[in-house]
Amino acid sequence: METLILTGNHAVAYAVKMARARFVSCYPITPQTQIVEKLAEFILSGELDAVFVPVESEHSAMAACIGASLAGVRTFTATCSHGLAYMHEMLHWASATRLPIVMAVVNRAIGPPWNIWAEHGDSISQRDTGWIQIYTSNHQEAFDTILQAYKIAEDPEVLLPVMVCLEGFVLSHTAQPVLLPNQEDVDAFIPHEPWKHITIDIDNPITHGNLQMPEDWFYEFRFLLHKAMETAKKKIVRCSEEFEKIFGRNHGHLVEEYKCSDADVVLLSMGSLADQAKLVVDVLREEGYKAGAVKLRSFRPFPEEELCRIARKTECILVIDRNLSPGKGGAVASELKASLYGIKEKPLILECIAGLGGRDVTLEEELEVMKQAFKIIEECTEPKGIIWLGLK
Amino acid sequence: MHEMFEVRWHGRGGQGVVTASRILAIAAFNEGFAGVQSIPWIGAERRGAQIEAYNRISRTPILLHSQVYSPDAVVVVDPSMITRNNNVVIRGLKKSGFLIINTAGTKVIPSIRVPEECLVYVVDATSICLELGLQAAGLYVLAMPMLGAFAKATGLISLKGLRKAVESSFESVLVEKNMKAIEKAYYSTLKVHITPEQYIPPVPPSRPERIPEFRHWTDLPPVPVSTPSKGSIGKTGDWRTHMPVIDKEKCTKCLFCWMYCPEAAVNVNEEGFPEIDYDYCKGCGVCFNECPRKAIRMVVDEKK
Repeated sequence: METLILTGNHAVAYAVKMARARFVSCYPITPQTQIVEKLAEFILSGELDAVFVPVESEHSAMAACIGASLAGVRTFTATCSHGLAYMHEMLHWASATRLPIVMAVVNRAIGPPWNIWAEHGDSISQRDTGWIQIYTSNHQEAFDTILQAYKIAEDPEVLLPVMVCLEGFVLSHTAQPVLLPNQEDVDAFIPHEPWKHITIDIDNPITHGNLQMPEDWFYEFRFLLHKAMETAKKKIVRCSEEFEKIFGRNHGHLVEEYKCSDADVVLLSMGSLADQAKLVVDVLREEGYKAGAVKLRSFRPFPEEELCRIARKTECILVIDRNLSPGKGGAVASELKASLYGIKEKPLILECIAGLGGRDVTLEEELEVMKQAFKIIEECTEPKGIIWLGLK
Repeated sequence: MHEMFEVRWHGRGGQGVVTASRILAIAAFNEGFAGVQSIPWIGAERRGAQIEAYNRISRTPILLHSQVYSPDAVVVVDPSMITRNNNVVIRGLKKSGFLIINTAGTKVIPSIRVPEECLVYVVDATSICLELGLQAAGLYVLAMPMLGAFAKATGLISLKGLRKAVESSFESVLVEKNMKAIEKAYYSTLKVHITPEQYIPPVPPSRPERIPEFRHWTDLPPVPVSTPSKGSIGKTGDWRTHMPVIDKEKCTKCLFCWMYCPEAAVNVNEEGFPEIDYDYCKGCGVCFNECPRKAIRMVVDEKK
């Protein structure tokens, strides 16, 4: 074990090396490029025994990963923003072929206007591609989640690709201490057992993805994909429990609660903002506010039951979304509201958009909006639509 | 008539089934039916493949958008359909519905099974097309004369209405040829006598066939995978109307036919001669076109 001061990107690259990925195909894009560079270095120096396939686009990068994964080897790619959008079609092929590919998405806004900074909109807009999406809050979590992602993806009852998301620059280019585990422990945690449901074997040729007529089985295969997502909820929890046993760290399962048991207002967010939310809560608690925070780790599958459980014991949930669906609002707020529809005693939901295009989200801003929330529930006033944090 | 009259067409890709269904809708609309629908069922999208099309005809606008399951009339454009599987053709056919068949002579009639009170009509659409040379891209447009048979059998639309619809659908040079086929069929369509032994209980409505090895989603693997197999969608020789015949006297064993056959339905025998695998030959005529010695003829497949 050793602790290195790593950028978020390098933390991801180290994790891929320790997971012993055998195949990497990436197209560089800011702010993900360091991941590609570091992995290329590892492969060139022989530290990572893998094939690196340079490609001319992200669409091809995913296509190459699909091919490698069909051959039964552990694969990795990374992208973001326009690159991820360009990959969109292939994302469906990976998930519907049930290939356990792991991809880091270094969240970045999609232009125009041109912008290379943090925003979750790129991966959120891939919501319905059938990929598991886990959002990480810090460098260690990004590292650990890559290892967990392989375990979840390769589970025979899951067999779904996983996106591990970390915000561009906020995490990707800042450096923090990252504890690297022992290789033997990693090997024991994720032994490589090739998936058997679909494997390329030149002696026994097969075709996959053949035409399915409306009255054949397309609908049922989509149903199975949904069921695999439902199963993934249990597996994500089990995986992080197992991870804790071996490595002693727990970043939360599907969601992570922080001082929620008696909280009147809970701050719900994803990514680095979820780390910062703990600080917001601490400051508010010192000032006498009963505040709590929830980190949403898994956006797909969406943890409805866990969020309902939290919602039952609080008066108000303030959601900060670092993404925007123009004409509706933030994705997490929308999905939270939909998830809570079935429970009787619903908390007030306040929607807040923040940090688009990498706009910095400060502690002071978050404290202020949380205090607004406390005021709203105290005075029983009607909330006035979306709160736009830091809008000029 | 029923409040809504539903029609199902059975034919093969290239026989004009979809076009005929469209013309029927136009003709019915022109005759005052405010609600008409022409519904092609998009399947394998290949010439020769079994296809279905549907019509709905109603005095009031139609809101239903699903396929037709319980037709008031079934039009069998390709005569091989009924001999291969009578029950597929009459599935869902209403008790007193119409069955309108393209057939030469009366040979096929005793083998037909229909629900009680069904009215069966026959017409020799194939001969009409042959006589008039009503062809499109090498295939006889058998569905056009069947429009005439439909008009005669059901009385729902008139020849005048069909003419107007045909005029709005084709270039003027094609109108007369098509109308001639429709008129000939109209005047030669016959109602046939069905004996009580030919009555069977109605065949329940169903959707077109499914892949048989699975019944339920629990049977499915995580992803659909298929292994190469001969004739995975059945013997496609069924799709053929014309068959290639090789004249061994003229054949020089150049194997152009073997090379060009898009279905790999030409085998080479021990003497080096090409042989057609009629189980899978769809009768496309590519070999006939490519043979440099003109050693291949295309002849009407008599078995059908």
